[in-house]
Amino acid sequence: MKFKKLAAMMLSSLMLVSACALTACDNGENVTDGKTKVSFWYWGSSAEVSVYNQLINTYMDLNDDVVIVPTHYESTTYMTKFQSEKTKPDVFFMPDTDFVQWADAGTMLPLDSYVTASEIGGLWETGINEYYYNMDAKTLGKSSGAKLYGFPKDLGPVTLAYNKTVLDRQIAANKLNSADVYAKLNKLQPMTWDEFAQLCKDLTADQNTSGANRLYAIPYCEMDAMLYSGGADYFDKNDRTKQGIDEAFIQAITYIVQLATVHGVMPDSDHSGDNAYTLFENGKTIFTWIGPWDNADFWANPDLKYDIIPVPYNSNIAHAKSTSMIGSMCYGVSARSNVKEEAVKFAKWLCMGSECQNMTMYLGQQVPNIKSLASAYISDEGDWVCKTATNTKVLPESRSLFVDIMDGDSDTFGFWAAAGKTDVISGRTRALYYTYGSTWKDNFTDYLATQHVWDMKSADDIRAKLEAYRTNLQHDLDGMYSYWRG
Amino acid sequence: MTKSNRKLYTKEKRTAFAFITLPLIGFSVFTLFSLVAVLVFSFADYNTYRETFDFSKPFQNFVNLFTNDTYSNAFFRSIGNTVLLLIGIPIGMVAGLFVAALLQSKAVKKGSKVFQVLYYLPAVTSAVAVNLVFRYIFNPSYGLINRLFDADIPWFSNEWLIKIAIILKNTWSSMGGTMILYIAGMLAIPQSYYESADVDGASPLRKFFSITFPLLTPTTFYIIITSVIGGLQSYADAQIFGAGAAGSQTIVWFIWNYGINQGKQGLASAASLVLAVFIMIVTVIQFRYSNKWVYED
Repeated sequence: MKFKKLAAMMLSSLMLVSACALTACDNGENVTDGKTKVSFWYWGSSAEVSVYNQLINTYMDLNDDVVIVPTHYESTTYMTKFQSEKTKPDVFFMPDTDFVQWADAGTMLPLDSYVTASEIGGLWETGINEYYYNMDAKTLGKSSGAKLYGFPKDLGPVTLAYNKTVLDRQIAANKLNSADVYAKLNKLQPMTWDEFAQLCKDLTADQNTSGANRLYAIPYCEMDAMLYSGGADYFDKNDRTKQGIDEAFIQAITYIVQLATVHGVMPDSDHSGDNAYTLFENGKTIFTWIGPWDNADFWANPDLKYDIIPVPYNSNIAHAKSTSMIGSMCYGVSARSNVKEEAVKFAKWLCMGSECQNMTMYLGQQVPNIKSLASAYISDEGDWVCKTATNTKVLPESRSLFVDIMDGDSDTFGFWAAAGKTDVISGRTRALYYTYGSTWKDNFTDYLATQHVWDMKSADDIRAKLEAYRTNLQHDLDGMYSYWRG
Repeated sequence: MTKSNRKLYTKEKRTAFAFITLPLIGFSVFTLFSLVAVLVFSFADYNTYRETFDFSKPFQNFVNLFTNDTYSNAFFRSIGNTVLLLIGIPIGMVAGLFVAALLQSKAVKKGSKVFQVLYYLPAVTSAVAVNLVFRYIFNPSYGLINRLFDADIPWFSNEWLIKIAIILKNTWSSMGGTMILYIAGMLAIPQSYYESADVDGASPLRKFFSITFPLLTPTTFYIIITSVIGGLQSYADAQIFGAGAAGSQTIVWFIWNYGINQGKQGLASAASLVLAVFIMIVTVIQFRYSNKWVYED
C-alpha cells in the first residue's frame, strides 16, 4: 500500500513538475545570462534552414547582447502553429496571403517609427508597399493613414525554368533545330501562349500518349501567373470586390486545361500531384515554375543545368503582357513582444541589413531586398556558394529576369533600353494577398475539380462552367468583404 | 466497520484517488473542456485573428453549414463521402471473419500463430505510414498497381476510384484487428456445442452458420459499433491518402479544413456538434435493434 501511494504521489509530482517546467519555458522570460532573448519563427527547406542558421549566428556575433531563439516549422503547418500559439514569437514570418488578417487583428506591431524614409527608399517599392495597411479604411497598400506592419523578407517572382539537359535531349530526339528552340527561350522576348504550346508539343512529340511514365513539357500551371499573363484576374479590374470572370479569364483557364486535355503536354488531373521539383530535378519534365529561393536547393545538385524564361502571354487579349505572380512574405514583430526594440532591430537587419542581404543572395536564397544590390545579383562575380574551381557561372544565367519582374513596368536597370526594346515583362502580387481568408479561392479550386473542368476538352464546355460560377464567386467575395469590412 | 478498517478504507480511497487524478485531469482538459468549448464556439461567430466572440446570431454557423453555398456544398460532399466510405466496414468484417475461421480450422493449425501475427501487423501500424505506403501503391504515374497491370487508372483524380482505393486500403488495414476479435470470440465458444453437432453429423459449413456465426454476434456487434464510430471520424484517409482530393474529403477533414486551416472555428465546431449528434443517433439505433440479432446468454 505504501509503495502504491508513494508511486502515485511521485507520478503526480513528476507530472506537476513537468507541467510547471513547461510553463516556465514559455512564460515570456526574455533575459538569459544577461542577454536579451528574441524568439523567431520561420519555415523553409533544409537549404533555407542552413541559411537561417548562418544568418542568426552572424547576427549574434554582431550583437553579443542578444540571443536569437529560432523555431523552424514545415511550411504546411507553420500558420496552424502560429494561429494556435497564444504568445506569438517576437519576430516571425508572415506570408502575404495571411498578412491582412493578422495586421487587422492588431497582432503585428506598426513599424513606421522604427525606420527612416531613406531606409525604406532603398528597398523595392513592390515589396515594402505591400505591407502597409490602413486599419480604419481597411485597405491594403501605401496610402494616407496606412501604417507599415512588416518588413519584406523577399519578393518571390515565380517564373518558368527549363532543364537544359532534358531540353537538349528532346531537341535531338525530335530532330528540332537547337538554335530555333533556344531563340524562343529569350528573357527579353516572352512567348505567346500559342508559341509555348507548340514548342511544348514539338519537344514531347516522341512521347507516347499514355499517362504513365512519360515525359511532360510542364508539370502544372501557376494559375495566378497564367491569369495575369492572360490579361485576367479573379477580380474586376476597377473594383476588387466584384468577381472578374470575363473573356480573358475564360481564355486563360481554357488554355491551362487544354495544355493537358488537348495538347497533352501537361499531366491531366489523373496524373497530376507528383512533386514538380522532384520531376524537374529527375528530368521528368522540361519546364517547371521556380522562384529565386529554389536556387539554393538546385545548386545542391551540380548535374542540374537550368535557366529561366518569362511567363508566356495571351496575344489574343489586347492588354495582356507577360506578368509573373510575385509571392512574398514579411518579417512581422509581435505587438505584445516584451523586447520590441531588439525584435524590430533583428527583423530590420534580416530585411535590409547589407550583411544579411549579401549572405542570402550568395547562398541562393533570394534576390536582395535592397535595390542597389541588384547589379551584384546579376553578376557572376562575388562569393556565390555554387561556384567551384571548374565552374564559375552562376545559374540561372538569365536571373536578371527575376530583377526585371520585380522592377515592374519600369526599366530601372536598362535591360530593355540596352536591347533597344520596351519593357514587356511585369509582376503582380498573388491574388490571396488582397483578400481576407482563402475560402473564396478554395471553393473555386474545388469547383473546377468537382465539375471535372480539368478533364474537359471542349472550350465551350469550359466556358459554360466558368460562366455558371460567376454568381458563386460573387457570393463568396461578398461574404468575405462583409466579414472583413463589416 | 471498525476504526482500523475505516482508516484502511480511507487510505485506499486516497491512494485510488491519487491514481485516478491524472486521467481525470486529462479527461477534464481534453474531453470535458473541449466539449464545452465546441458548444460555445458553435453558437458564436469567433474571429480567430481578432480573438473575438459574437453571439448576436447564435445559429448562424448551423445555417451556414446547411444553406450557405460557400460552405454547404463542401459539407454535404464530406457527409456523402464519409457515409460511402463506411462500405469498407462490412467488407473488412467479412474478410476478418473468413481469415479467423480459416486460422481456427484444423486445416491451418500449423503456422496459425505466425499468420495471426502477420495479419494483425496492419492493426498496430501507424495510420500515417499505411496511408503513405498505399498512396505510393495507388499512384497513377509510378504506383505499384498501375505498373503491375500496365494500366493507367486515375486512382486519385476520379471521385469514385479514390473511394474504391480507400475502401481497399481500409479493408486491408482493418482485417487484422477484426480477425483477432473474431478468434477471441471463437475461442470462447464451448467445444461441447461442436461435439454435439458432430454427433448429429453436421457439416463444417452447417456448424459455422448454426453455431459459430450466431455465437459471434456479440463480437460482430462490438466491431460494428466501434468501426462505424471510427469510420465517421475518419481523417487520415482524406488528409494523407487523398491529399484533400474532393472525392476523399470526410466530415472530420471538413472540420479540420475550416477550423484549423481556414480559421473558422465556429463553423467547424458546429460541424463537430452535428457529427457528434449523428454518431449518437446511429449508435442508439444500433443498440436499439441489437436485441433482434445479437445472441445473449
